[in-house]
Amino acid sequence: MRLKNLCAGLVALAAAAAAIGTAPAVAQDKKPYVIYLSNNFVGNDWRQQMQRVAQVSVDKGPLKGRVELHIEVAEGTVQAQINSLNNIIRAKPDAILVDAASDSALNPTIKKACDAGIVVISFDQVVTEPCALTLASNWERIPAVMAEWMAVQLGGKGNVLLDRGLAGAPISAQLQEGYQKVLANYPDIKVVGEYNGEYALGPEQAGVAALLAANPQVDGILTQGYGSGAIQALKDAGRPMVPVVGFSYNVAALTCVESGAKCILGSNPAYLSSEAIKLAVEILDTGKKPEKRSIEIEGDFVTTTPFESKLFPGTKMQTIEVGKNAFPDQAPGLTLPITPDWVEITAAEAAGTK
Amino acid sequence: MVLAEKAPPHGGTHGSTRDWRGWALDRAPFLVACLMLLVIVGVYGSYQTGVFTLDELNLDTSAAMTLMLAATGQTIVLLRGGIDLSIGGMISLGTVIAATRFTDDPATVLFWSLFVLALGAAIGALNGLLISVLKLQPFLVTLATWSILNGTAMIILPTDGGSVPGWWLGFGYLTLFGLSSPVWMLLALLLFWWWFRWTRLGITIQATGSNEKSAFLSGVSITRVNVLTYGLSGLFAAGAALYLTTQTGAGSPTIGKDYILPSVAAAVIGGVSLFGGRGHLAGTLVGAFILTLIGNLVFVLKISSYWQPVASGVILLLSVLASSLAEKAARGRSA
Amino acid sequence: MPGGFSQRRIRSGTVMDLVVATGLTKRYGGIVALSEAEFSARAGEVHALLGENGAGKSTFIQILSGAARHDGGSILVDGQDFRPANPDAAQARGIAAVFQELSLIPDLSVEQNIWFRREPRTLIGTVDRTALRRKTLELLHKYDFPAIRPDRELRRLTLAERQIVEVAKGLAKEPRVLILDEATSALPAREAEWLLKLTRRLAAEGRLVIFISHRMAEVRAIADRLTIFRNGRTVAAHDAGAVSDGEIVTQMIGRNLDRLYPERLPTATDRVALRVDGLSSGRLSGVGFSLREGEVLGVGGLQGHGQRELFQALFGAAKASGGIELWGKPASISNPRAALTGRDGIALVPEDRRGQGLLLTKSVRENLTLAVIKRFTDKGFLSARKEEALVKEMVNFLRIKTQTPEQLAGTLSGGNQQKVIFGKMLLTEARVLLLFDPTRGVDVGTKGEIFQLMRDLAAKGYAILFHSSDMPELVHVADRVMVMRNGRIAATLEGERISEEGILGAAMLESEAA
Repeated sequence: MRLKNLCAGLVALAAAAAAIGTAPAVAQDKKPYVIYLSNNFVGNDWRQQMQRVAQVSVDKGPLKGRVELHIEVAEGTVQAQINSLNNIIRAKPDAILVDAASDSALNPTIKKACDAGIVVISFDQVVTEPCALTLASNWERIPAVMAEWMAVQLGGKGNVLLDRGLAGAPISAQLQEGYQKVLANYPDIKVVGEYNGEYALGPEQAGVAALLAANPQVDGILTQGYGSGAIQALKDAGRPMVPVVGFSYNVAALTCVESGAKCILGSNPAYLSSEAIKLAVEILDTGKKPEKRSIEIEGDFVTTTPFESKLFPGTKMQTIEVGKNAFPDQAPGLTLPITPDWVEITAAEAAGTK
Repeated sequence: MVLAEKAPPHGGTHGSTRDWRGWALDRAPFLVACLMLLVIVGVYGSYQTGVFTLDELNLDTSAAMTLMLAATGQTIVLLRGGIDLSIGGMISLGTVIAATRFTDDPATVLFWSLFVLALGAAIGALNGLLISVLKLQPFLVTLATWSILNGTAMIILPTDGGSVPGWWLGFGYLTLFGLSSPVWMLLALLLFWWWFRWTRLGITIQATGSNEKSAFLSGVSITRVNVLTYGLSGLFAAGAALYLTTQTGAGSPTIGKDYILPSVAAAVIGGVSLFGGRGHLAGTLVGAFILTLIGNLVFVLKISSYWQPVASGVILLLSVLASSLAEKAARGRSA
Repeated sequence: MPGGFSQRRIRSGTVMDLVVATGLTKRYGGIVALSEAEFSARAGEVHALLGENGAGKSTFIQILSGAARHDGGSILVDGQDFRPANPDAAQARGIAAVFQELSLIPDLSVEQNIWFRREPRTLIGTVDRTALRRKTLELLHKYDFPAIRPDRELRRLTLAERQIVEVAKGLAKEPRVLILDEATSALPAREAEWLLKLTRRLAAEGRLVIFISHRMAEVRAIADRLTIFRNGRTVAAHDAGAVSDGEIVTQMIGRNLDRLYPERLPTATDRVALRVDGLSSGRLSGVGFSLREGEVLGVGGLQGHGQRELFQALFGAAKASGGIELWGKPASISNPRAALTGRDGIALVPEDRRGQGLLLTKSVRENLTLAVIKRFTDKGFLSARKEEALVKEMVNFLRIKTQTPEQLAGTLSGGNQQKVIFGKMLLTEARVLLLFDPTRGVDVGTKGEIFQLMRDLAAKGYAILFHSSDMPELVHVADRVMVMRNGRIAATLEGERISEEGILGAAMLESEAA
């Protein structure tokens, strides 16, 4: 199984190398492409890591010297990002990458950029304007695979807790439904409690602790956040470790290993920005846009206990190895995995501690 | 008679020879704002080509117009000595209504536009009524209505979306004599102000903000002033919402909050007093331009965009400092 | 000056009275402000309304001008029922008030204030500024107003100038009844005289002027009739010629006031408490004098000749150059805190007690102890017991009429507010006191108490510098009077030479020549 994953990885790497390897021959001595990254928010670890890896991925590896990258941050408001984009458009760059404040309110401005002949790729928080490509994690795959993993761990039978995320947030509803849709295939798995984890350690721990007190038998926990809050709640309650589903933060991976809990951590990799840059360079090199407007990035799952998904065959899993893909000396909020396979980004570079 | 002829302590006469220094001191905050704008435009122009063109004016005005409309209402409220946080909710709600109700049919668009404007005025009037009748702080009342309007917007459209007809999106690109429609709106705002500030209503709003008790003793109905003041603010917020949809083409239940504090900041930079009674729209519009152009400036100077809020803050401080110094100087003169 | 006016007394029993109030009652919560008050006045007369602060005068004129509504009784104007819902409605019936609490807007110009809400308008609804200027100048000329610039923003004017604008605003309404509430109290002598003259002229034009003043001389000079309020009731109504000052005062305060002015014992020693040498700042130029222990030194002159600047400079509220010695030691007073230090310090009772001296929303206790909070701290902690004892002592000593020391200062009458300021000043232990117009707007009973207090303090060795805009106060209370003119000391009067004529002469005669 592992071997198969590795093979798939190698194939992908080779393909990427070939793609980049052929084009540069003609493009190498050209002026670097001017690419702007418009980010509307820097208030969390993910966005900061995203900005850092974007820069790192043009400073080394295959894209070194190919891209002049400018990162513009727009104060968290739609109007500010519109104004910022207008400024960017006037600078006539080759491409604009947008992590958008709104999926629709930037559309007229994005359209203006496209009309000016600029390649526009929206990533992470994408826009609905058809002229822009979108690049984001596959949010159907992530909860489905993790729920499937949980069912496999439980042998199709048991009581689980479910995280509703943040009330009113679209992503929360999507994840919750994703979990529930898969769990519905296992009639013997019962959701005995739901809580709002709010993507923060405190609420997650408190929510799980309260439900543990009310339910003597809990066999698994599906969080939308760190997972480490849930593990701490289990410890505090003196309960045996049970399989936990969460997202791939550094602290989550470390806690899983430390506590001995079985975990699977889904990833919305921060290197989406690097992928967007790479895509932009490919389009600029070849002058061809991909057939499909939406490109889905499938970040590797990080887990203590890999398995072969039947729902999404070929899904890649990385086994947590402290020091290799989980880093005790780095920030807890670091998102794993750190690096795409076509460039070597270190944890220190991603965390900005280099 | 003898007494009047011999009255030296007051100096001067009934006549009105212009006192230029006093004139300048009274308008110091506004003049300082104009100076700052000139400096910003100057620096910007030396780094970016084509700044001194109509195209640039059209572009910057269209970027600043939502803030300008919101700040126009805010200016009227500040002049009254209040503050209106609910414009945030009104702008969100306005964009959401427009984006969910507008169709390609111009008559439908017209109907719902008028509906949004009427709703804005009505909700503003309600703010004014609550403030007067319940004798509550404007801050608290409008904080509450902001929240209510925001929630309503979320109910109608939980996430950004909806759409407006394509011709509606083209509004900002219409031109006449080379000037785009936002520039004409800017001129209309100035014309409105030139008229409004000299109407009895305008003067009464200013007077009530300057000293509510004196205004009351002079026969002003405070309730009526509040209803009209906040009604106008709501109306302009609704206008800002409609304009914003020509820029974004979508509704957003959260977008309005981005205009609350900037609308106050634009007014204060332009010399409008937070204590009421003093200030002009021209200053506010200059302030809105400054806040918008700082972004452009930071961009062309190629310094980190984190400096933009820092620069905004420094400019705000400079304005406040200028008005305080000018007030001291003027007081020294008249003492 | 009283003799300068022709005293035309109108007696027309046949003419129906213009304003007649009967059984007028007004309550504010549990407090009865007016209790079956009676009032009757005719067109063509100046009718003085007298009473101590809190007697109900303000309430009465608020009702009459539409700013408040009565609970009981009735008012007839021209024989018809009068119950205005707001100031506009009162105006429509020809009644306008010139308030002591000014009804002016700080951020509007003089002319905008005068015609506020009645501005001439153009076709598009804006103010017709040409017509506004014209009408303003017409009005100011018609009534011989002191020079004032119509385009000046009101907040740039002095208190006296604002009072004059308030009068103009009242007159602009061409009222049949004009109420002047303490309108002269903020005016310097010359402008006050002008206003009195104007008042007579308005009455001669057939208007009714209801005139409220704490200055007896003014009332005697111009009133045809007078009505006296006490505790919300009407105690008397007289033809002005038919009663003596003593009778009026007795009726106002409900008891015999032995004397308004206390006996002036020679308490001054040779020890110099405050020596000022060559003090200059803005309007002041080279002011020098000595104030001795136990002395009350008056500061007089026409308003606006440097009196305010002198007090501010001495208190450290304005920058000044020159030498100041306190108790023989050079003192550097750069800010009010420096002025306040302990037994060798200086304390000021300011002109505008609401704006500068008193925190209206704080309790009497807090107001008293604010400036001296250090004295009640024990290793950084407030000693409540110490504070309470001193506050009690002060309230008793000054006879402050307050239910408890916790009552809000803003709810006290004007005279009692002034006493709180005195208390605050005395608690600083400073023995050089600067009193700037301490009796302005204070009722006659309290005035007497304040004068007595000043003399008592002098006898205890305090040195008092005293300015009053009411000349008789200087004449009767001060040991010496310095007359200021153009920022200098024009003369210092002693003994027999202290008189109203003497002060006015020194203040005016040479200034005309200068």
